[in-house]
Amino acid sequence: MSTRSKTAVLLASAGVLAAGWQIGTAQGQTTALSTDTATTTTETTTATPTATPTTTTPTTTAPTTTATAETTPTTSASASTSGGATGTFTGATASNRFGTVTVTVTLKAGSITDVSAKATIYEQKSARYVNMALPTLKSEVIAADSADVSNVSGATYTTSSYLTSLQSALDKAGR
Amino acid sequence: MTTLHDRPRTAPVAQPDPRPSIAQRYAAQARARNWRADGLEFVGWVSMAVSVALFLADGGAAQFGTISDAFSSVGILAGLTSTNALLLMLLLAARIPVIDATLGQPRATSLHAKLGQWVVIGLVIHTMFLIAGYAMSASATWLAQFLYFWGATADFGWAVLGMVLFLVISFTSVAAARKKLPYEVWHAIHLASYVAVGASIPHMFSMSGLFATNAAARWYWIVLLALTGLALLVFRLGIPLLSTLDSRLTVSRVTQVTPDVINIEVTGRRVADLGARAGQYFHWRFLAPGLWWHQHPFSISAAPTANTLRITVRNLGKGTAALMNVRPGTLVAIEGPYGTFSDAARTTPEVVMIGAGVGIAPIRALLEETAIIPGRAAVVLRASRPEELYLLHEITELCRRRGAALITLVGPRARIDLQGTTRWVPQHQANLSLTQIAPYLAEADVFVCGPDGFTDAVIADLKGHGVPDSRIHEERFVW
Repeated sequence: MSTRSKTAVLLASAGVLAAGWQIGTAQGQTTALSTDTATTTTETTTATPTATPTTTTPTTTAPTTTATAETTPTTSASASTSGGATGTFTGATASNRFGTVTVTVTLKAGSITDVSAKATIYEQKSARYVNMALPTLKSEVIAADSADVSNVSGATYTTSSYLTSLQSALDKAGR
Repeated sequence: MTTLHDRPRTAPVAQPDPRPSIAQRYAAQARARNWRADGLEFVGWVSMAVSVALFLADGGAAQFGTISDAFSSVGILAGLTSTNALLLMLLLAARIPVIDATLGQPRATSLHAKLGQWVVIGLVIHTMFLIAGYAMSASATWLAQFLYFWGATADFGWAVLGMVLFLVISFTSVAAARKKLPYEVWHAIHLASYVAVGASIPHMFSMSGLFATNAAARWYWIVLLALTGLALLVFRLGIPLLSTLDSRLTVSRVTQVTPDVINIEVTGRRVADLGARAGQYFHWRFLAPGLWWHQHPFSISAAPTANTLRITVRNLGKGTAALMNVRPGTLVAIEGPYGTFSDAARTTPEVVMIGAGVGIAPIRALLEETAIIPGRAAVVLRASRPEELYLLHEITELCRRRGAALITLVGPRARIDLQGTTRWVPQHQANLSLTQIAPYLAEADVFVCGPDGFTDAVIADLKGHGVPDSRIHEERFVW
């Protein structure tokens, strides 16, 4: 390996790594700042920045043995808007580092009346976060009547997969 | 200006000294090749950095807080870098023209093998650390965690299959094991690499947080995997198939050189379009009963003409024995041309070509095409017995015409001490030094082709005389 290429490799690699690091740390701060409190239901997509940043990294806790979590389907009526699809639609399964999420949505005249989700979890410890996130996401989605809801603090991956799968279900319904 | 194909009938007298222009041309050629080599090296190393940077960009640096997270992160990093190195290995084996022309097959293969060791170590770390990391966070045993993954998704099972295959492939490719295996067995096992890579792909996209949730990272890896697959398809299947179909090569003449050596001439259309340089090799498949299933790498033993190629084949055992009866009219499938054992490797105006056994063949071709300055070029042929100096008449004639010195060294290997240490020169010339043959040796390009032991011994000798690696060009009879 010539000195020329060694130098070029070192400089370029250092640059690439530094850029990656920079993006990674910058994003970490954004995620922490834009998290919403788990219980709030919002109608708009605007995330309320909280003063106290919450960590998105799951901490080591006692293991849960639950492998799959399924929310119990409940019927909650929603003000119907214009005419649209009615029926039950299941979205594509979305995966993440901790498992998969498959969302089924029930529509009445184009409005979301119910959402249920089936989750598989690779890692036992994350079952807790998933179990916590699913009901929150459900109520947020029904309230917002769309996939435009904010991230559930501490369950970024699950939120992302949930919303991806939900969107694909909504796409199937043609809305 | 001297061109490659100038073949003066007599030694040039009172003509302008060709040396400066040849020196300039070869120096420029060497510079270009060095830039290409640096470029390839750069791309290889920076791609490794990018694979780590994408992990960092996804917030990876924050994933070292607890011991279990740190284990998982090390596992993820090992997986990412190994995957990248694995793709580099596949590209090195894809016979991409720029890689072949820059690194040459011996270097590309040894790099492929070296990377292979790291990839397997990396994949073992990837598996162990991730299972350990997840097991730790769940206070479970490794086995429980393994079974947990196994039950959670089919992709994990595929990944395990890939891992097992990678281990088998690496064990059978370790030099010691490889020598004991017949080529066909080793090759069949090595072909399982494609299955191994394919089986590992699903879990990258379903189980990995990076590929599944980070769109930039996902697309980067999809594009990288797709391009690698495409390169393999195009250069290992597409182009050889097109070359074969387009040139429609058939055996046109078979002549006996010695009882166990034959010349095979093949003729076809637009052979010149294949772009073969004298000294390069093709993979040959003769489409006749009993022959078609076996592919052989043979160097061309004469400069290619507009529609013919010639190879010189020695009966070396099972595969080549059957070839001795190949009939004119037999269709031929080819892959190539490959290799840097040609004028394209030259860096200086002086040249020494050393061949042993059937390794004389590419030297015979090279001698016809590469630039030669009378008095600054030598051909050294080595054989145990005089009849093994294949193509000697042709080579003698070419040396005379082109002004290269010809030295033949015949006889059993010299023993130089009582311990049985041998030199590559014959017994009766045990003290012969290459500098006696070519006083300009240290400034010359040296081409060496022959059996492994011979090639190694000559290269060691050359290094002892201060010939740098960049001027030693070798071709080996290996698969």
